[in-house]
Amino acid sequence: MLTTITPQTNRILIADDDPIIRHLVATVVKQLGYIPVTVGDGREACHLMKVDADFKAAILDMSMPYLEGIELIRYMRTEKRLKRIPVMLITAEPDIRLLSDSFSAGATVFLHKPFTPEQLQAALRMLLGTRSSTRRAA
Amino acid sequence: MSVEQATTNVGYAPVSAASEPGSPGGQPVCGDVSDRADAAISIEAIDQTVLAALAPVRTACGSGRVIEDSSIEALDQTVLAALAEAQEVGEPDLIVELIDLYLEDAPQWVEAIRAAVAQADAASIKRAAHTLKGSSGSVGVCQVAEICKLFEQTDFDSLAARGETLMQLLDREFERARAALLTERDRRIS
Repeated sequence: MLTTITPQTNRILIADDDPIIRHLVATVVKQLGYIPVTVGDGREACHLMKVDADFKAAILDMSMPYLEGIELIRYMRTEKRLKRIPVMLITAEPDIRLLSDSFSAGATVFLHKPFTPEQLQAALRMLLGTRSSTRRAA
Repeated sequence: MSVEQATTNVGYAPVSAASEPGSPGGQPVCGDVSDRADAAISIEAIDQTVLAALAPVRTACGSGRVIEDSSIEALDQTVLAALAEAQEVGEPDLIVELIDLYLEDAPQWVEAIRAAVAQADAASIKRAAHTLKGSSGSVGVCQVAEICKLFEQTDFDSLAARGETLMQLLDREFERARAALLTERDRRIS
């Protein structure tokens, strides 16, 4: 069953297999007044998004079990329900080609790990202040 | 054979030296040693990377022999200070929560790397090292993160020669990290 999309939804999807990053990101998301919805891998995120598109944004880890962040973005960009959701991709890979591929796939903001809460806040504001078609590196 | 002997014998030095005070910019070590896009680099390149990072210590020692520098902190307080900015009044201590999560989660990745080294499974080493690198850097145990980078960058051919040595380094630094994190945890909850 598909959920109704709330125009003013406050929920942000966080997908990362690292519980430390998940907790840190969720903490900062809450601080900014949003509701974090956390999942532990790409497949779980995909399953969730198939029935729930009610997210203001998504923060995805690049390297996750089963389904990588960039593959999730590609999936999201093919689904009308999910297209509008801006995506931040986080990764520990300092790879310029990955950055380029991420933007090509439809990532909105790119954040490199490890990051400080302040950097994450800045990236989140950037993510939420832009349309999904606007692409920037944090 | 001690870790120091082992590392010296193969041309490495203790990775803990990578955060020698006075290293460029005074920044946390994470990212200083080997932020390279190369998916796999040669064993010579790794040697050069490690030795370059350790140059301050070698110079300080003056003999070319690598020694353990106990002044190198296992836990980077600048990372904790940055994390503390996200602490909200009335909420549980964020740093304690992150330390608990790390100490619960990280050992499985150390063991995953050990098992993969034993099997010379380069793909599994890289995967586990990548995960451990991310979480280690996030809680400020940057020496562990640095060793994980070395694991990630070790190509398959070098694995047999370097895997055990890196594993010894990882074991040692992970124990230092665990002790430092537990000390920090105790300090914060007391």
